[in-house]
Amino acid sequence: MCGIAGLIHKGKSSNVGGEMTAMLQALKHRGPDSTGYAVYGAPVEGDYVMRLKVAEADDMARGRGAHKLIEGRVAAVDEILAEHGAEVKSKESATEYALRYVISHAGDTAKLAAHIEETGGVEILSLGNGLELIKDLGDAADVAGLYGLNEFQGTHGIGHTRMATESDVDIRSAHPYWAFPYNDVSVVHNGQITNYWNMRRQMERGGHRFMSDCDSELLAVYTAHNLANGVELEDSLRRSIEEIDGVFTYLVATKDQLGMAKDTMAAKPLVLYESDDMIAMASEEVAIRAILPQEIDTTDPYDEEVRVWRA
Amino acid sequence: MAGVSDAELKTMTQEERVTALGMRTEQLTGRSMFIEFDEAAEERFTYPWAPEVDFNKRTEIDTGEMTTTEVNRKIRALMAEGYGTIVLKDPRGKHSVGTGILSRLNLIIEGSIGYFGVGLIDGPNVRITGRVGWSCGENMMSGSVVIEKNAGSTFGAAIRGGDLVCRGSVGSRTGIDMKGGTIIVGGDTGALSGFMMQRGRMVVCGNAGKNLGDSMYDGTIFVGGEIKSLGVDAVEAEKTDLDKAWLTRKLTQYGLIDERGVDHFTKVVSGKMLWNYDNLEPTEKKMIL
Amino acid sequence: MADGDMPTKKPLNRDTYRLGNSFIFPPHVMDDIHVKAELGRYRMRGFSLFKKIPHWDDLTFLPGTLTRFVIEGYREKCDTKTVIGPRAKRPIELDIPVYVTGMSFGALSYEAKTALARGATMAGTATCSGEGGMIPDERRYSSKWFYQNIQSRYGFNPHHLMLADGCEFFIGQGCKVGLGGHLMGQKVTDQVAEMRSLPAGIDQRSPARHPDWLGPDDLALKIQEIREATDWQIPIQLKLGAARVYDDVRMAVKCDPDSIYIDGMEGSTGAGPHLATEDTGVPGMAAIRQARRAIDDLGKRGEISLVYAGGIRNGADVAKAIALGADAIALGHSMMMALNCNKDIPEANFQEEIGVEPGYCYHCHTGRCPVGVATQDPKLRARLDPDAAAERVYNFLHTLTIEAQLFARACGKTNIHSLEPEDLAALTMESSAMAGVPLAGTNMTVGVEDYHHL
Repeated sequence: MCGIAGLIHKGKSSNVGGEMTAMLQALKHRGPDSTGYAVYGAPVEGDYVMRLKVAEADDMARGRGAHKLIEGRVAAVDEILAEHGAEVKSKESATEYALRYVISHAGDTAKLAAHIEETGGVEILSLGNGLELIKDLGDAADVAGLYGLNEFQGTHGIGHTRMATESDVDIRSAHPYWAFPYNDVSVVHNGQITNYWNMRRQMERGGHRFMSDCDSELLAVYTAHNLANGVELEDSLRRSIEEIDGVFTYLVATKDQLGMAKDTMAAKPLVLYESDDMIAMASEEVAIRAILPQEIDTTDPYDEEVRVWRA
Repeated sequence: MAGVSDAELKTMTQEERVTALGMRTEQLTGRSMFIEFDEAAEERFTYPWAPEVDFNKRTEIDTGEMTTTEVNRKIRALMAEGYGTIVLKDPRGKHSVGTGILSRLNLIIEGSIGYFGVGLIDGPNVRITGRVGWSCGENMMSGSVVIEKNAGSTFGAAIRGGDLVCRGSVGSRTGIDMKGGTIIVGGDTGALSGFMMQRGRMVVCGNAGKNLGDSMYDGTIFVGGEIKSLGVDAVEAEKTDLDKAWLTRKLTQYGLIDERGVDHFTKVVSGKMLWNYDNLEPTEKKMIL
Repeated sequence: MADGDMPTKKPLNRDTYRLGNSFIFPPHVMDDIHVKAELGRYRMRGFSLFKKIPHWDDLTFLPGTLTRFVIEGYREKCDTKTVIGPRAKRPIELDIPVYVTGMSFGALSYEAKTALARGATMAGTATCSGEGGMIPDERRYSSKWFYQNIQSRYGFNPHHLMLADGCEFFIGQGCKVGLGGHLMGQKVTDQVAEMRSLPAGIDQRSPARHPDWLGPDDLALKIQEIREATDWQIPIQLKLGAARVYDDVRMAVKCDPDSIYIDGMEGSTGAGPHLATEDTGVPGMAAIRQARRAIDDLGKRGEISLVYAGGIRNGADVAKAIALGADAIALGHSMMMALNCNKDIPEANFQEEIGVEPGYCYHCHTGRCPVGVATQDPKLRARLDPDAAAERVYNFLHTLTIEAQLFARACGKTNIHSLEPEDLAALTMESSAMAGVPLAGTNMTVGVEDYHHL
């Protein structure tokens, strides 16, 4: 139950951090609980950006004990990175519990990610050459301010404002979801999936991991599952309309693509603006207006519509 | 009730059934509007509490920095002062703009508005130069609304009267639960348009999505282009001369008629099978599976 | 009897060779299958659920004895004033904590609707339009009146919205959660059909979703629209059927209404599939507790009111629902009984007209209500005297209130809204777990460690 937004610039970089913040702030009323971004900067081959969080809201509520907990977890992450021979090029923290690593790693990133997540309380939010995934409680202005996102330069991004439905208000249930362990793939979703538990059990048997009880995470895992099996993004989106029950509109971003899919009931809104050098979409027109105040033409995609754009 | 067996009821037409079941014994106490006019007001045909407005008195509001509530209150205040033509500039996709106007008024919105634009209105003539979000004109009773660009889904949900016109394309579920009036779409419409439609007419000049007119009780849908699929209990029907004359008149009025005229329009009406589902033969009941 | 003879024995009135009766397939279940095999569809009926669930009788009060000062049961002041939507510019202020819930004109006769309005006004409380639009006389006779914004939007008129003291969004009904309303063709007379813009005599199955909003995010905007149309004056109430109550109410709170109305599975209907009535929703005692927790968790206690309806029959039920966390109680079915539902009035011949004894009638859906309440037939309607009926409605609402006060006073409260879960004990394990109160005579609340902070 949420607001979603996405934009992609064709063949150029722009201030996608600032633009996404403006769009998501305009959608604040659709989701006051948490805000998340997946923005894509210029990819650097061989270098990976890893965003992770080492504590949840309930951990932080422990007061002084939380600091000790966090220190221990960060130390464990550093140790695993060293074990895998990954070179840490930089390590920053926007908040005490959210860290950004730039690492250089020649080995298998999936294995590295799986090892890091074995540390209790540690969740990798994103890992990739270009992807930076940021999510936290609060509205877009809060989160962008906290994580210094307003100046972020990149080609495309997706974002989400969340109104929690059946899962909790916490960071692990905030969007976007990273399609673990598939580099640079992220998903935002508006809607409900009504065969979630059946699909989830099927995915879990296939060896996929779920970090939250939020139905939207299924879309990320589902997409990762398809991409890992060599399915094109567009086909994965199309297939999801057949296989996933419920009502949903969702956006998927990869290193250089942005895709959208709308379910057969067409119950979840999306407004689309397309021009030669830029495509923007959001749950409400007001978000697109936040970055394009001039007179523009926008359309509503129809039921079962799937679109994919390249940066 | 007495004296009519179920078997007899099954063979009757709907009209006969209604009479046989004693539903026509009452005097109608009035139409559903139940608005009581005094004699003087009846002549002017406005509601007793509607403000007296002069269409020649015109004003413009720059709404860019205003909230929705401020805009709506300003409209009401201006109407109370007698302004009959109000222009809203730079609405920036605000929601619920122009909601609940229950009087005559010329409202011109220069730009795009968000969800629930000009919903719950009775009487005004509205022109919107931009796009509208979901549920535009929701539950309108009378008046006219013309949108120059596209519209979102659930366009004209549950409208009961008036003309709601979108020159561009609209989203899904257009005219859902429609109870009267006219919806005209210059372009295409999405899935489930005319879902559970009860009365009124809907005209789509372009294509219609799947399940058009699903479970419609009554009313008429005209489609100029392709129909992806008809919904449960929606059937095609022959256009009458009256239909053609009406279509020509309405489309000419809003400048949406082209050289093809109106002959290419498909007419869709209710199959009326679901009117009394309980009376269907067992095999006929499968239609809702 | 000769000496040594055994006394003659009465023969056993049963066949000892019989293996027993089926618990799963008793005769009425077999009959049901036989009927459906003929009919080819679900069976409709009115009334509330027939099966046994944990309900209000499974709770008891723990009044003051020596540890608590009791208020004199029949005289001393015990405030019953109730406010719905205190944040709104014009909150709905009721003299008593009970009001008459939405029942449509169509399901109910004109006489029944106006009698309810008059009785409620005499009692100082509110009524609600129900589905199918406003009848002007109901508004005229009601001092406080909710206008329902229901999925079908039958007869919804913005002019009538302007006349309302509150706007209720009907999102679900406890008796058939997730399903739309029903009005069978027998009751869709010319007048009812005209109000709803439908052809007369059709079987009306209302949609289960609103036409113009499809999710809570859109609902937040829809609420804003109604507020804009009514200039932010009147409270907006969301009526939800009780299902995933905690999550649903949290969502509802985020849409920012002034009041949330929870309808427990005990709620009734004028017509619905029998099975939907039996097998959807959760009982009121579980629903109220969860809804209260959701509102409190989001810090909206005292800002967003909680109204409960479903299976409330007497003042004890009212007091129990308030103790569990409700701010106000809405009544539907009991009010119909106050009107005469199932009463053996001289004019009615239940056996002949309906085929059941009075007390067993659930035939609201047929439109042949023998007491003239749930019908549109002029001959049957004449059996309800609106003046006497209004009096009965008032009497019953008043009785409910003084009965509820009786428990509040016995528990030492000078305000009925001071009742709290700690004033209750559970008589069964089930009710203890659902209502979150300890089993009588113990400190154990089933499944809960600390029921004070549930």
